[in-house]
Amino acid sequence: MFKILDRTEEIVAVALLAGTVIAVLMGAIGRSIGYPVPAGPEIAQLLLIWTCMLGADLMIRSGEHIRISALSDALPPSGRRVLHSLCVICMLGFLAYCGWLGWKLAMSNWAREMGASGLSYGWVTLAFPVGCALMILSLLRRIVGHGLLYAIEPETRDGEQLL
Amino acid sequence: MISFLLLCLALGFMVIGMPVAFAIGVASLVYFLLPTTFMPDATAVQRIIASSQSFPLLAVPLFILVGHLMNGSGITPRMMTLASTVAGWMRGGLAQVSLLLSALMGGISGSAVADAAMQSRILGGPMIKEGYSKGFTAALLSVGGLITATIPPSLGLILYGFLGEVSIGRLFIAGIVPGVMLTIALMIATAWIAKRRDYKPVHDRLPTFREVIAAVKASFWAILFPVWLIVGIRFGIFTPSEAGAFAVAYALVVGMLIYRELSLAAVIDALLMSVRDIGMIMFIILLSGAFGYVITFERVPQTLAELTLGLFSSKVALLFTISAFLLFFGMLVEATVIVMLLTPILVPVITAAGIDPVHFGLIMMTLVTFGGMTPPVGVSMFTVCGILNCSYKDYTVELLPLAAAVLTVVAIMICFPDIVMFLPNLMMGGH
Amino acid sequence: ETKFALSTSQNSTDPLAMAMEAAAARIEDRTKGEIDVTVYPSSQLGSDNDVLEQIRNGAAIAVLVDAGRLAPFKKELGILSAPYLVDDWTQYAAITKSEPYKAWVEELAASSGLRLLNYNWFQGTRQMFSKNPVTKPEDLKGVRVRTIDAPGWLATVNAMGATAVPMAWSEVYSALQLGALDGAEAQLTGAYGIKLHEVTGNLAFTNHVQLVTGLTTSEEWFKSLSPEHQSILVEELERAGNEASAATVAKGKEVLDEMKAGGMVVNDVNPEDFKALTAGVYAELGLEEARAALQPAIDAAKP
Ligand code: NA
Ligand code: NA
Repeated sequence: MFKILDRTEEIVAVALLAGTVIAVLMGAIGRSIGYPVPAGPEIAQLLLIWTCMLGADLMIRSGEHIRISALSDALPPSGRRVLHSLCVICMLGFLAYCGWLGWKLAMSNWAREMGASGLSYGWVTLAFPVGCALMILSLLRRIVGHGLLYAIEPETRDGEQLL
Repeated sequence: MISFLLLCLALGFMVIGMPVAFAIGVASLVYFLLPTTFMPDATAVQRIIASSQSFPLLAVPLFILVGHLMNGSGITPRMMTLASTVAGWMRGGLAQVSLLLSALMGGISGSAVADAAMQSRILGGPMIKEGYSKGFTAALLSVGGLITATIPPSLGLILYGFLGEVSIGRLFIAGIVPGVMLTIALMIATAWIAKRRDYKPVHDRLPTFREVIAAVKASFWAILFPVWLIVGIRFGIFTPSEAGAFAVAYALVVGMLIYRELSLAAVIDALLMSVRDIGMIMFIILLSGAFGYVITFERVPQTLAELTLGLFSSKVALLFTISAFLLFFGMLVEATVIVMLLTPILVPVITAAGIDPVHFGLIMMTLVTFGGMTPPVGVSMFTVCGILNCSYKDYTVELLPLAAAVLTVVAIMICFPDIVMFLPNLMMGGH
Repeated sequence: ETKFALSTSQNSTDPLAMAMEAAAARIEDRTKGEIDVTVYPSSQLGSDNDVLEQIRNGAAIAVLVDAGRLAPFKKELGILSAPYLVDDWTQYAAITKSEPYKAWVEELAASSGLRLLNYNWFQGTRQMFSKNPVTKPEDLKGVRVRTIDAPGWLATVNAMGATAVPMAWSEVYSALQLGALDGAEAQLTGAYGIKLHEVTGNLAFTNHVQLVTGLTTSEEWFKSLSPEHQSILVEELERAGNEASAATVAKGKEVLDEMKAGGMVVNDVNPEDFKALTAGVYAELGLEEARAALQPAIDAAKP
C-alpha cells in the first residue's frame, strides 16, 4: 500500500520537474519566434512549487534534510532521544499548523487569479498544505519504522565525527 | 531586537539537530504567534508560498537538473580528462585538477553546492587515497565551487540581478574575470600547500601539445556550451533566467545525440535525484521566505544601512565595510537568504554612493557564496563534509589558507573596479 | 494604539510613496498617535496580490492597486483599468462619485472583505515604447510588447495589434537590450525609472490606459475603528492621493524632457486609431454592462 504511494509520488514528482523544464522552454521559444505563450512562466512556477513540496517529502522519507548533527552525535542515546523528540514535536506542530493555515488560505482565496492564464492561484497555494500532509505522514512512518533515534537522520550514515 | 532573538532561536534549533529548513521555518512562525505581531499567522504561510513564485528562481531547479544530467551525459568525465591533462603535472596534481575542473564546469553549472557535491563524489575518494588530508580535500572541493558560482552562468548573480533590478546579462559577463582570478589565486594557494606537504603530481611530465588537443577535441561540445550560452543571451534568444532550461536541453542533446551515453533511464534517474535536491534546497529557500518577511517588517536592514552609510565618504572604505558585514552575515546565514534579504536594501545604498551595481554584485555574490563554505552555517560545508565524512574542525583549519586567497581576490576587486567592469563595458557598452 | 501599514510597489523616492509618508504623519498627528502608520515601499510586504490576500485575512494594511487586481473579486471594477475608458484621468473623479461605482465598492466589501477607500492615485497614462517607430496600428504587427500579466492588459495590447508578452518589470530593460522584446507599454515615470528610453528609442502617445489606482484595506479592520478615526483615515488618504497625482503629473513632464534630451524620438500617432481596435476588449472581459452603467457619469464629465 505504502509502496504504491511512494512510487506514485516519485513518478509524479519527476513528471512535474520535466513539465517545469518544458514550460520554461516553450515560453522562451514561443517568444523568440513571435508566438508568445503568456501562461508559460506561470505554469512553470506552479509546477515548481509542487515539485519542491514533493521533493521535500521525499527527503523527509529518507531522513536526508540538511541538519547539523554535531551536538546530538556527541550525546548518549538517551540524550539524543530527548533532542530528537523536541525536533520532531516542533516539526510536526509546524507542519500541522502551517498546513492547516495553507489549506484555509487556498480555500478562502480561490478567486485570486494567477495572471495571464486566468487559473486560480489556489492551485499554487494548495501545494503547501498537501506537501505538509505528506510530510506529516512520512515523519510518522519514520518514527514507527526507524524509531525516534533515526526519525530525522538516514540510517546508513556511518559515524560522522563532527565539530 | 526581536529579529536578533529569532535569529538566535533559529540557530538554537539548528544546534539541537533540527533540519535547517525547519529551524528557520519554526523560528519564523514563532514571530507570527507572538501577541505583539499584528499580522495574521497565515501571512507566514503566504510568504513561504510566495517565495516560490518568482520566475528567476526557476533557474535554481533547472541548473540543479543540468548538474545531474551532465554526470550521465558524458560531459563531466570529458571535462575531467581535459582538466587532468592540463593540470595533472603540477605539484598537488589532483587538487589543481579539481580547481581547473571547477573553472571548466563553471561555464555550464551555476551552483557552488552542486559543483562541490559532484566533485566530492568524483574526486573526494581518490584524493584521500592519494594521501591528501581529509580536511584539505573537503575544504578545497568546497571552495572550488566558488569558481563555478562566479563564472557565468551563476544562480547567485541571477537572484541578485532579479532582486536588485540589475542587468543579469552584464552581471554574467562581469563574472568571467573574477572567476579566472579566483581560479589562479586558489591554484597558487594550493601549490604552496602542496609544496609544504609534498602532495604529488598525477603525471610526471608536462602534457604534449597533441594530448591537449585530443582532450579539447573530446570535450569540444561541453566547452562550446558557455560560448553558446553567452551568444544566446546576447542575441535575445532567451533571457538569462531562461538559460537553465536551454542548458537542460543542451545537455540532453549532447548526451543523447552527440556522445550517445545518456539513456532514457539515466535521464529519469537524473530527474529523480534532482527532485530530491530541489526538495532539500528549495525547501530551505521557501521557509526562509517567512524569515525574510520578519526581517523586512522589523526594518532591520534599513537600520543597519543607515548606521553604516552616515560614516563613509570614500567608496573603497564603504565597500570594505559592507564586505566585512556581508562576510560576517554570510558565515551565519544561508547565502540565498542573504541575497533575498539584503540585495534590495544594499543596491540603492551603493548606487547612491556612486558604485556600479554590477561591480558590487560580483563582490557581494563572491562573499556570500563563500559564506556557504564557512562554519558555523554553510550548505557547501555541510554537503561536502557529509559526503566525505570529514569533521568540521579539520575542515575549518584547512580552509584558512584558501580563505586568504579568496579574500585577497575580493580585496583586488574592491580596489580596482575596472578589472570587473572592463569586459561588460566592452561587450555591452557603458550603462 | 493600532498599527496600520501602507504598502506600494513603487520605491521610496516615488511621489506616491512620498505622499503616503506625508499622510502617515498627518494621521498619527490627528489621532494623537492612536493609529501608528508605517509605509512599506518597493513591495516589501509582498506583491500586490499577496498583500491583498493578507488583507483578506484581516491584516491592517492598505495597498495601492489598480482595479485589475480587484476584478477577480468584483468583475465590474475591472473596467477602471480598461482601455480608453475616459479621455483624461481627471474624469475618474466623476466615476468615483457615481452610484454604480459606489454600489460595486460596497458589494466588493461584502463579498470579499476588501474595502476600497479611494481611487484617485494617478500613476500616469500608459504609452507605447518601441525600438522601431510606431505611427499607426499596422506598425505594431509582430512587435513583442511587454505588458502586465493580467487578462485585461494582455487583451488590450493584443487588440492594439501588438504581440503581448507578460514579463517581470525587473527583466524588461535587459530583455529589450538583448532583443528578447521589441517594446514595452508603460507610463512615463515608470519608464524613466528603468531607463526604458535607452533601450527603445521611440515613443508613441497611444494613451491606451489611464493608470489610476486606489487604496484597498480590510473591511473587518476598518469597521473596528471609531467613526472619528475612520473619517480621519478617509480624508487624509484621499488628500494624499490628490497630492501624489499632482506630483506624478509634474514629474511626467520633467522626465519626458529628460528622455527627449537623451535622444528618444516621439512619433505622431492618432490614439483614435487604437481606440477603435480595442472596442472589443470590453466584450471579451464581460464589461459591456458595466460600461453602460458608467456612461452617464463619463459623458457628464466631458468638457
Ligand atoms: Na557558473
Ligand atoms: Na557559513
